[in-house]
Amino acid sequence: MNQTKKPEEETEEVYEKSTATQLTTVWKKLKASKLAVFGGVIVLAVILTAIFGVYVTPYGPNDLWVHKQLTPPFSEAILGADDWGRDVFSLLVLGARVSLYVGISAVLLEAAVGLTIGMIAGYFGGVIDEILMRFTDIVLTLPTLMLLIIAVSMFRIRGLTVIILVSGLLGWPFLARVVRSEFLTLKESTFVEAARSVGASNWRIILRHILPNTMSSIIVLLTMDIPWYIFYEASLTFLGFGDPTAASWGILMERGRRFLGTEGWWIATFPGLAILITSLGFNLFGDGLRDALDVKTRAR
Amino acid sequence: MNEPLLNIKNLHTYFLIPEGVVRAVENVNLKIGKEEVLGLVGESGCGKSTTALSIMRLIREPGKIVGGEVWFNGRDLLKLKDKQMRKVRGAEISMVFQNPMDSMNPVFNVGSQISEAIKLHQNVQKREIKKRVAEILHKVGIPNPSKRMKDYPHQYSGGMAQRAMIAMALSCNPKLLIADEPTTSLDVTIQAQILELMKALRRDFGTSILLIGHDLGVISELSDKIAVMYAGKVVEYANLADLFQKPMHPYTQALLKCLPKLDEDMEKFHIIRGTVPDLINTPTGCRYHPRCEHAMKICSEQEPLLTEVKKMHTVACHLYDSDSDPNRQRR
Repeated sequence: MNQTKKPEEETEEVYEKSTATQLTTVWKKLKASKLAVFGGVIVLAVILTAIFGVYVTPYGPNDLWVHKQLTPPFSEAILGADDWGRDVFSLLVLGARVSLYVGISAVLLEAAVGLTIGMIAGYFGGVIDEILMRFTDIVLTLPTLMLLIIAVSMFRIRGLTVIILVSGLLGWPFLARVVRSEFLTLKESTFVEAARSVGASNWRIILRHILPNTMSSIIVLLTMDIPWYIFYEASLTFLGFGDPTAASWGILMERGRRFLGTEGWWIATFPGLAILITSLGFNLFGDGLRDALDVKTRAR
Repeated sequence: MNEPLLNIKNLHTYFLIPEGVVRAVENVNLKIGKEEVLGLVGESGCGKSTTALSIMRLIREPGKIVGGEVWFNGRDLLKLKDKQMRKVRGAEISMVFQNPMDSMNPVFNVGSQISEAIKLHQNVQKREIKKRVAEILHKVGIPNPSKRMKDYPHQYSGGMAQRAMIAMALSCNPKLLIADEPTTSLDVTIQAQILELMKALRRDFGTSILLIGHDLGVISELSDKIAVMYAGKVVEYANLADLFQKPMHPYTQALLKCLPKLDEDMEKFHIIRGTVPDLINTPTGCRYHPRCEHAMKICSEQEPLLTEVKKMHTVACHLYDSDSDPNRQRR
């Protein structure tokens, strides 16, 4: 075919300019934002601590220094010791694992419910959409913390699992709304029509063609939701409804509460700071991701 | 002539909206033979695309195919189950859309989009799929296909994207290709290239094509036969040469006059006054009569039927009613 020659010359130049794939563009933009990098470093540090931290802490979380209860920080123990003589730093490291476990499990649960409901409501529309969205509205009005307290007292198991289940199962409405609205727009697009015209089924279109297009907003939302679940667990535990056997940051704060005004301010303060910094990290990283994934701000 | 590949009989597609019933396609009859190209021409809003989507059964709410038959290869497509219909789409009938850039999913590379049809309809190994995709991209004139198939749609130009979409449509060797204004969003030089490509593919693959467009000039490049649609109805159907030499329906005549001619001095472009009627409240009688230069009394009262006036030339117009003298009426 003769006509193949022409477009080759024509397009080669355009081609050179845009060889960067989408991922590298996102990475570049992420790196360019100082705050996002800062947030990313914190997130990474927390994750690494959660996974490997317990293997490198100077003391085990249950090692007691019998004569050194309430050792102040920046002395023998870098962040001090609690009223039982346990090393606060080692406890914090272990707490990272528990708190992150709560945050990530709850977010996964939120994603499972929110995505399913959002996708079905947005794609199929009509009566299905109406029913699902009214249900979402109802769930949205439920006061999470109160229900958490009720659930924890009801089940009489002060387990993390109950906290994860309840907070995850109540946290999805916003995600569902976002996913639904994205599906509402995307299902009208020509590429969906094109996919249908080659014989793709509804579910294939939902999962393979539309869902990947919504990934950026979903990832951002979920990233920023992780600290929320850590908060919920910490607040609940601080109020005394937590799992006393899981050494989360919330438990450490609750145990340190009694010493706040007196001789042991560091016991509650450092776990609190850990929650604060972690949440800050996830939020900054999420913000950065949002900007990096946004096609409209590509020029920079 | 033996059995046509596609035979649309009395197709009715309506859109049921709160304001009323939009009769987008009404009583349309079309035939496409094997290896034949049928051009479907008309202004925007005439029901061309709706006809195409009805064939594929891709009409969505609030649209509905309310009547008719679409016989394809010995089966009535409108009676197939959804699952069977999905097997027809992409494998036996495929479609190329107006805007190639929008037809591609922005988050997947071009190669994986083209392989979608192969994946859905043929049981082929991954490596084999890659080879096939590269092959077909080469056939539609994409240079360096094994490298360019890894590119994302935004890295393609409009013309290349349309080539890729044609590649996707042809990847399973369909018997019928529906091209819905495939060149409308492209600039003129690229238009010519795409038309050349479709000509070549038709020669090589022997695919029947339903070519939809509003530009008679473009359509005539490729078509064997032409059907002219107006306000949801086919008003004239003839061989390409017949239609150009002796257009019969006043609407077709007007459309042809609108084509600019280089060999004539023209002060002004011809236009057809007015617009396509509101398809909820269609004019009584002939739907074209409010804009027609030859409108007679009967035109607003009685709807003209599509009749074969000459061999292989049908038209729906009262000017050719057997009791009136066609020679007197035609200019």
